[in-house]
Amino acid sequence: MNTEAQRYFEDVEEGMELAPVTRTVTTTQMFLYSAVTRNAHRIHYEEKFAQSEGLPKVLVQGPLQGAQLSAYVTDWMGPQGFLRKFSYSNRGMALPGQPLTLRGKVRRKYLLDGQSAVDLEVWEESAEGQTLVPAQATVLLPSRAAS
Amino acid sequence: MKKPLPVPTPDTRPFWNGLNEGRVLLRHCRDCDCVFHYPRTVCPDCLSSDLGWRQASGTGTLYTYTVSRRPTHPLFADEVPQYLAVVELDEGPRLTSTLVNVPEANITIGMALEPVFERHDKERITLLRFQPANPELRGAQAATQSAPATSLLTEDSLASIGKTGEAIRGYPVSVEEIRRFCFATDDLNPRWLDPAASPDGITAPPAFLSIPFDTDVPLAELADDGVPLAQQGLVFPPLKARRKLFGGYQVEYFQPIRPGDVLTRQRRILDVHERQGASGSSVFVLIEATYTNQRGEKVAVEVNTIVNR
Repeated sequence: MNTEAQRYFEDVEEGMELAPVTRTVTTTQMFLYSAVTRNAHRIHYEEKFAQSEGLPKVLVQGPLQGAQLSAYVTDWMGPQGFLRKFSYSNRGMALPGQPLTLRGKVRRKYLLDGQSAVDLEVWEESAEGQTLVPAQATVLLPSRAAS
Repeated sequence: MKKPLPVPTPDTRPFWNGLNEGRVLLRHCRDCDCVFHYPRTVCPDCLSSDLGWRQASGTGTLYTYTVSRRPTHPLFADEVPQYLAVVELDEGPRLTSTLVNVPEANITIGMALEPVFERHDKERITLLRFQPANPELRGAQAATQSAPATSLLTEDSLASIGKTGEAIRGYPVSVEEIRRFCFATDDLNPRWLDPAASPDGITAPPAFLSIPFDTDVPLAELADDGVPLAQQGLVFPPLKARRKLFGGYQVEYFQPIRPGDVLTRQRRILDVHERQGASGSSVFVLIEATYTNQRGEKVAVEVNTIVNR
């Protein structure tokens, strides 16, 4: 999925859509993510405990969804881009085994403190089209004029 | 047709947001230090546009009033007799409102008033009404109408706003830990993994930021749900809530993170505010964290929102 080609400021247009990517978080990935974040919260690996908390089954870690969207943006911007700002919120729950689609759109291109910047709106949605994680990103891109 | 409700504008939105949180906010002029209402972009006293917001007590006195026995519009027929009032807030500004929970015979000019936040949850609008500060003047039907929703805040909750925790040093960023994080998030971008792909050496993916602070704790320091009993480097505001939910995250990055970096994190309670919703009260706690590296360079500033119910 990773693009090695550089994206330049001049190649970006407002309204442009990012190519969608579909990912399915497995319980194996959730286990590895809990391990790397030292997160022992039982709602992420113990079905019965999750259900006792009123959840249908174990829940995908919210920050893992954030990290997926962050990587979706850093893939898009290319090796010389810099992720300057990023924000997201978890609106709906994501369950393992459920296909999740990442999508995005270029909102605005402008100069930020003299650097060529692009605002993106990205989000993760369920197969039913429900937005689970809305997010916003600002990336700094190299300019052909400068290089 | 439905009864019309106020439509916030960019100039007035903080005022309406404040009412949704049970707070009365007034425009404050940083140049001449006056407060005023209604909200506008220029100070009416000195014409400065260097303005902020101040939380008012919400209490005041009755400056004047009139009784409207005929509705000004058919949609307001259910509200007559309506006690239209000009209330002088303790901070000085006067605003137009209606008196509620008071029999007409008990209304007197100069009486002490307190705010009643009339919530319209579906429309996300709260109207500011006033009732007598003295409960004995409120009349019989008042008790049921003005019963405030149960608050999850304690006396000390708001005192924690602005409190800073101790600075915590994370464990050194390593190539191995970056790789572990990339594999767990399925982010195989060569920038983070392949030294040959990055002339200046690999960097960590931006979302790696807090990983060196996700420390191991002894089993005895984990609660039954698996979450650490105490947070390192920060005292969480005391609340009467039972559950903590992750509400949202925002971050600004200033420097890349590289293997060998040792980051320091300093956290601060940015804000604590309560919102009453259809399913009860929620307290939003905003925690800001500033990350610097071993050269003293600011790497990132993030804000986590924790929803407490």
